[in-house]
Amino acid sequence: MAAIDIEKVVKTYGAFTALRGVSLTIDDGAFVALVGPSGCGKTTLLRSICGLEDIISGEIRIDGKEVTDQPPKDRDIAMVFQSYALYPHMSVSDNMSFSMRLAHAAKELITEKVGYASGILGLGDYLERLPRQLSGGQRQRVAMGRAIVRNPKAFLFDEPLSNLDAKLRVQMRKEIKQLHQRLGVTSVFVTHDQIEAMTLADRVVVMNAGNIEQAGSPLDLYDHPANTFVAGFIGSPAMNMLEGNVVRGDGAPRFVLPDGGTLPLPVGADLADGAGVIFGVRPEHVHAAATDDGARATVNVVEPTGFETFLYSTLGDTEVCIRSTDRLAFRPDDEIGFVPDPEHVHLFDPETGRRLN
Amino acid sequence: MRSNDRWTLVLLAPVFLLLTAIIFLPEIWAGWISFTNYRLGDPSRFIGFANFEYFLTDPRFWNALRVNVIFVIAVVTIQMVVGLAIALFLAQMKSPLRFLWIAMVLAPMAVSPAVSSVIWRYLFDANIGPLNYFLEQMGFERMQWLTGVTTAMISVIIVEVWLAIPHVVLFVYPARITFPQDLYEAAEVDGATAWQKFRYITFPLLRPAFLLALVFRVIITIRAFGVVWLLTKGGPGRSTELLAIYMFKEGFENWRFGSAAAIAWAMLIITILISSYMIYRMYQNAFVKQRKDA
Amino acid sequence: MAGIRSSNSLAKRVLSALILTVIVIWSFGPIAIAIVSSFKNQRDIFTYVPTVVFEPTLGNYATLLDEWSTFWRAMGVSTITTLGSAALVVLVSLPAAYAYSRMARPAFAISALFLIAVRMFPPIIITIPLFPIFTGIGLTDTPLGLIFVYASFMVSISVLLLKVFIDGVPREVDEAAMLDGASRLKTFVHIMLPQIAPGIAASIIFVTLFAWNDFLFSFLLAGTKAKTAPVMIAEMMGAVGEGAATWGTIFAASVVQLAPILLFVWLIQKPLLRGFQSGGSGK
Repeated sequence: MAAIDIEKVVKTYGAFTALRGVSLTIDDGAFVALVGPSGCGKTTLLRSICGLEDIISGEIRIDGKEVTDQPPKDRDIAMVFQSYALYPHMSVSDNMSFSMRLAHAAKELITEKVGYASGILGLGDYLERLPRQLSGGQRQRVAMGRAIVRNPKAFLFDEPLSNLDAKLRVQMRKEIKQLHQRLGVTSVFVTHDQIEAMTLADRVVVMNAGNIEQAGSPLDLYDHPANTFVAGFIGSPAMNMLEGNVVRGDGAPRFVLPDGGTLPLPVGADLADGAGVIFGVRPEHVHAAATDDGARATVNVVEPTGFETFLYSTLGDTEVCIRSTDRLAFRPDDEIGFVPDPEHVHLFDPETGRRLN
Repeated sequence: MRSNDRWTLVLLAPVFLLLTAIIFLPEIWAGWISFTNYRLGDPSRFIGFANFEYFLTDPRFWNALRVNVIFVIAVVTIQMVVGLAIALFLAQMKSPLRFLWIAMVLAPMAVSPAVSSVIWRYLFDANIGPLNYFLEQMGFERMQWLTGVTTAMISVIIVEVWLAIPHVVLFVYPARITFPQDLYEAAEVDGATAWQKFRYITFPLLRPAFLLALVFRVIITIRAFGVVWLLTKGGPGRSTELLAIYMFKEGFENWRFGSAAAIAWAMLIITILISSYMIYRMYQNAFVKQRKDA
Repeated sequence: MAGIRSSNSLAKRVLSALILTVIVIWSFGPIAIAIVSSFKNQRDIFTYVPTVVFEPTLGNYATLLDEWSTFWRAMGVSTITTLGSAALVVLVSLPAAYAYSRMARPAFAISALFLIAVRMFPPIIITIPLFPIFTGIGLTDTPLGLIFVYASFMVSISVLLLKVFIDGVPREVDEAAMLDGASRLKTFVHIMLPQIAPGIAASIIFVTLFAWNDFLFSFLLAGTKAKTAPVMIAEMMGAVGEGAATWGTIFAASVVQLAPILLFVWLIQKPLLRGFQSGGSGK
């Protein structure tokens, strides 16, 4: 177990810059998820940590020790790959014990460790099977078993669940979380699925275009996105974002849409009169009114899912979503009032995308 | 990055050393001696294009070229058509013994030119050969297989085709068995006849493999030497004297290395020209395409 | 309706069997005749009306053993050169294939163009320069000289083939091994080699078919002391005309030369048919 320090790491592939000076500290024993759209640099960062990528500049320290120029084999880090990367010609137990056999560990110790790992993962009956004789979920477990047996300084996971079907994915997600609670090994988990990131990690790192946009606890990211990118990326359906201006009249400042509709701004938002602003509000923080309240929107699609109903409407030229546990009785083409809860409004600077409130 | 390149060089070096020593340098030297009057052991002198002039004005060269063209056209056409037919026939078989029949079909590819010359010499033998016996039984006349001018050509074509068919089958059969069966079922639902299924499904899908096989077989047939040499030595007369045999005789019977080297270079250039597109395609396939997703 | 269908399918089956018979006789008949004739005595071979029923004899093989020690020596040379060239090919093409698959930048990949071009080289044209060169440096009439020549012509296909197999091993598997603490070399030996074994086998097959059956180079570059079996058989064939050898002995020699390689081809038939020869087979 160890902390991982990443400092100003830069990585390029020819003309393409994958990491633009990324810095991140991962505490000992933490479970950190790297999340972002494809090509954002999350996998590159993960591979730089374990030494599979040579970085151009910057520094990586594991357990306080600089490892930037060390080959992967000397970093004592285990990785679970998206494709599992099991050794196809080795049995389950040989797969798990490969690292120990390379290190010439004693036979008894190997048997003990493999027994321990396979016990945790429920693989005891499959030790003599070859990977191709296993199901997807079992292969996934072998890949984790290979990591557990080593008792490494850290576990790295590279989208390990994306090849599983939906049901198995949820189950394995739970197992990985339990495993982390049990073993307490520092873990870094790469995924493009924000639900996976939010449910698994104590700390979520949102990446975009080779930069870290925000790092924080899952709920912190959800409640206080630092910029429009994080606001749009975390949460599903995505946050509604409307562009408009601030009008300070006689009373409280109001948000005015280009078509003239107005919405109340949260208290304490200190904004200049006429300033451009992006008005963000999550679907569950909007109320659909049959009356003349709020901004006017036209219903496109109503999606009842049982517990909740999603209402997709057009407001000006933006598609907005309203999420309600009430069974809304609207129909397509109905005119509704878009009434956000001012307590939960996020304001962003339209130029920089930064959060304003 | 740089140490990676150094290792790449180290790992590639043995192959290129071997190729340079045994093929590239000797062939370049052959290019040089094609401009000299080199003879084994004698000092040589630069004589310009005299060797090329010599063989281009040699009626034996034009004879060899003519024989080679006829030989290539006949051998390649027959082997491609028959090989395709056999491969497709084997691919549609459902018998559990299919692998036995395939083993029989592939067997000739294991036979060396030397052994096939033994076997076919016996089969072609005018007096004790089984072929003539069966010809007579069927009411034809005995043939002087290897000793008649036309029949010798026919004979060597037969043997070359016999040796080559397994190679065609090996190109076509693996391609054919990968076609999804539902294509044929769909065609059947659409009312296609067997010929239409071949014409509109099988052949278009097979075309890449078939064309690859065709180019390969042309290249390999152009250089044919062994079995023809062993069966006829290019005779009777010069009726089966292929380019390779003509070159070989120039070099190792007449000891005119200069002109033999000139002919060799001509053959090399012809081969490279014919295969250049395929060389490029193989290079693209093996070394460029998957680089994109790397 | 049912009757028409079944008679139709019966006709189809008869036709199919007939076609199959013709194909098998054409392909395997000549080989079968050689094998059968090797067990016939001279009288049975020499009848114009082919003898189908005959008393099998091992006499031809006995003669081959007793009187043709030169043939057995040639078989020995064939074995050495074939094994030697297979070993050399695998030894030099494995690192190259690995480098092309895992390490080389595009700048290096261009060198593969030469490799593919060599694949198209007509072997016979190299005899002209090679003969004086080998004579000059004393490589003529040695198995070593033949090994170099055979290996040179087969390394290119071998590198291409092995590269395809190495490409087939996911990079993540290499990487997993490196993270497990294996060096590049150990990764190659423990992880890569077992997975590309079929590719190595395929390379060996191509070298073997070429080296074991070659006539041209052996005839020209090793015609006396390092004579290989095919050259010896061709010589025996010439001796038949002079009465110094019998058809029966030659058939026996041919079977001895053919049998191992034919069994070999049959053994690897399945992988062959899976189409890994796409690099192109043949001489």
